[in-house]
Amino acid sequence: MSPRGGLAILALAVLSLAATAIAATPSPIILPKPTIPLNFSHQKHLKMGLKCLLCHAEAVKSVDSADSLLPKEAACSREGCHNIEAANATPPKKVYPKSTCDTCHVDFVRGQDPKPDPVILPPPRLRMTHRAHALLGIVCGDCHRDMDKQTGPSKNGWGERIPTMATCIDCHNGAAAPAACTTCHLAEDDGRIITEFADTEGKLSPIGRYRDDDHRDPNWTFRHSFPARDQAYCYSCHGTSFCLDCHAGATKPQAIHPGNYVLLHSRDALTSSDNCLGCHEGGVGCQKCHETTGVSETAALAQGALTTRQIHPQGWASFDGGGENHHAQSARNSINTCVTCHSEQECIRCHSTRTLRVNPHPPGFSGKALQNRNDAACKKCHDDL
Amino acid sequence: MYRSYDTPALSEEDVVLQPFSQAFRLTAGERWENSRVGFETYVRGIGDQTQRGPGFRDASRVYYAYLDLVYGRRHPLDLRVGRQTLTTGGDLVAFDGARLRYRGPLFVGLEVFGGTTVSGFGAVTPQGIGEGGGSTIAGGSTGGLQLFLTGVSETQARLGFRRIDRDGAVDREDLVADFAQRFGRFRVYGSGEFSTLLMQPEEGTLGTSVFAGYGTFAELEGFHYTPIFGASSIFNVFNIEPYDEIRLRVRTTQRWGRIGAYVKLGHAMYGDGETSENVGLGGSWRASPRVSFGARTFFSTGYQGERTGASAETNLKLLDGGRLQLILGGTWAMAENTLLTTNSGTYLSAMGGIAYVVPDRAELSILAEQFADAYTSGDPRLTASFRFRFGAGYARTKGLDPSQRRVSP
Repeated sequence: MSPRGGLAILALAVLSLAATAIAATPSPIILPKPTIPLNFSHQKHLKMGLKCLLCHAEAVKSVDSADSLLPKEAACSREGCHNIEAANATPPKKVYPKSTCDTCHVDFVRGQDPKPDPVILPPPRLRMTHRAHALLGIVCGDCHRDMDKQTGPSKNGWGERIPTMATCIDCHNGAAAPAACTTCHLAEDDGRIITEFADTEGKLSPIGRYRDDDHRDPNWTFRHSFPARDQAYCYSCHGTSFCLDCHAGATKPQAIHPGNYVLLHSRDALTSSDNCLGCHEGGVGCQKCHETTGVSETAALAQGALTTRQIHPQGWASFDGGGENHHAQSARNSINTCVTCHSEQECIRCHSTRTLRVNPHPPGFSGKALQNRNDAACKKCHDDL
Repeated sequence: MYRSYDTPALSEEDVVLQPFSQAFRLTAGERWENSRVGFETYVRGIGDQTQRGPGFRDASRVYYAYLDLVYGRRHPLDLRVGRQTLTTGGDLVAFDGARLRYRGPLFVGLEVFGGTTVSGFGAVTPQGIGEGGGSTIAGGSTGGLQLFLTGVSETQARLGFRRIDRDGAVDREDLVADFAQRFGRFRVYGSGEFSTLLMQPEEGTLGTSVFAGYGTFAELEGFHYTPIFGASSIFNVFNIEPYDEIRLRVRTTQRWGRIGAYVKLGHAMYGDGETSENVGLGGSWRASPRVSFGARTFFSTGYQGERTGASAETNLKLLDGGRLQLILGGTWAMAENTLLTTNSGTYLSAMGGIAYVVPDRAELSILAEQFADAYTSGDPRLTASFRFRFGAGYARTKGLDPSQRRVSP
């Protein structure tokens, strides 16, 4: 099989893997998993025409996301609903709807278990006021969608119908409602989102659902530049120094390059030096090491080391034409790499009307547009301008 | 932060300790319901006795020091004054000046900036520009504006203009644009940079990605790049060919990042009909909060030779809360480079490190690396660093203060 055939099969295999969909769940960092050992079907209750506020009356007053808005037992046992007293009388009376303890409390046996397993609702890491939403006329179903489809107990902690950020940003888009992250996310006084919580493992980070910014992407470090163009968005969590740690850091982060990358970097430098320059300011890193190790024309000539450290193939700078071993081709294809070692002056030794007049311009070249705006480059080689 | 380390050297006599560096960062701010004021600065000083290049001396400076004033929630007005960095156009440029950002009610935001250029961390300053190959672009001016879409569901778009002047004349002038649009599970995105000085495109990206479930993406992307330098560089008028690449990437992260994997395939096209192919495959596994593994392989062939390699590492966290951290890793690679002939051969490296971390306070780490290859003499490399951080009030809550959660009735 040819290498390209192998690559094609591999591509198909990984695309098949990608097609495996997994259901979305709320972030366990924003909504730590609760314990709700209750049997409950919103579908059944809504089919009977019951309104949300009949059970969740406290919701319209809530200004804290940590408020428990689950109905208390008294609300469930109100007249016409679950007649717990009658169902648990001795002898028990037949009531409708079913009202024994285990109707709601999972596996609870009256007389055997001291009390039902408790409901535990860890406080969400969000700012959320049901009251403000209610005052604006927003009804429960606008956010808690498809509750009539929730038939059983919660399988994923908060349940499949808990609103996720996708629901919030339908309105919180900067037009209908504020879009600032700190509208909902907890923030420090400097305005940045709190991403680590003292009592929870893990760190809050984007997963790429709303933008192309999945920070968990193993390749994220090398592909963050596109989302980073929206600097204000990055600053929601990161300080400016976060950028500089890598882009202008005193040492390279170990996660960026493997241990011996210094010896392997030339190919990347030859083919995608714009990526290198994203971190290595102005070629400083190139020049420093290249001069130190003698891998530069200037240093090599000064040390008389060019013959032992000859890094280009024979015929590299010959005058007998082009070819793949001639520097002209590399200069055309990756000029950024050339300039990490070679200065303009080295090029001008041949490519100038004052020297050997070897024309470096492309066929049909006209530099008028540039010359009219800034002729500094032209004057370096042409006396007649 | 104090650091001391050495670089690979030719012999024992050539081992030179790199300079100590010391950095100071200050973040202060106060926030109210509809406004915020803040000040941030970052200063780094480096004691360079090596005299081996301009880089370290240039790296010793005030990196940023700005005052932030933000007013409004729905349509915030954000003014930043002082030394700051900007990423408009993909480059990271620092300047002394002001930036005003306003997110307007008509789905359009505006950002205007201008000031005196301090430095550039991006492609605006490749060495070779000018006579001495210096790194600084200080002294000129930077200015521009950017319009961006806001409040349009599933859509992001920006259009910007940036101009950098040096020595009294225009040095860079670019139009930059990018967009992203989601259609359910599909996403289309693109970006472009056009030099209005040279009247030619510089960089362009067009791609689409498929969101195939939580943390799983497939992405097909085309990339175009033509190097453009400052206006005074002669390289702008050289016969330069564009570089194009088609990339396919599939990545998945499951169980909230505990398992990750990616595959990358690339086909690159150079001038003169030259091409190269590359493939990368990698994965990571966080077996527990204290044990993680990562591994990756790559292979490339075509123009400029073949390269094959693999690397792997493991991280272990021990003691109370993982304060003691161990890292072990290694790499293997084989390269055949037709244009840099001395670079061909087999490369091996091993790495081992230990760090003691006091969360949010201090970190002491020592990392040792050993290379084995035919190209260098294989001197070991040792990196030691000590970071110390202190704060007043910054880490006081970590989200445990209920008042941070409550919203004013």
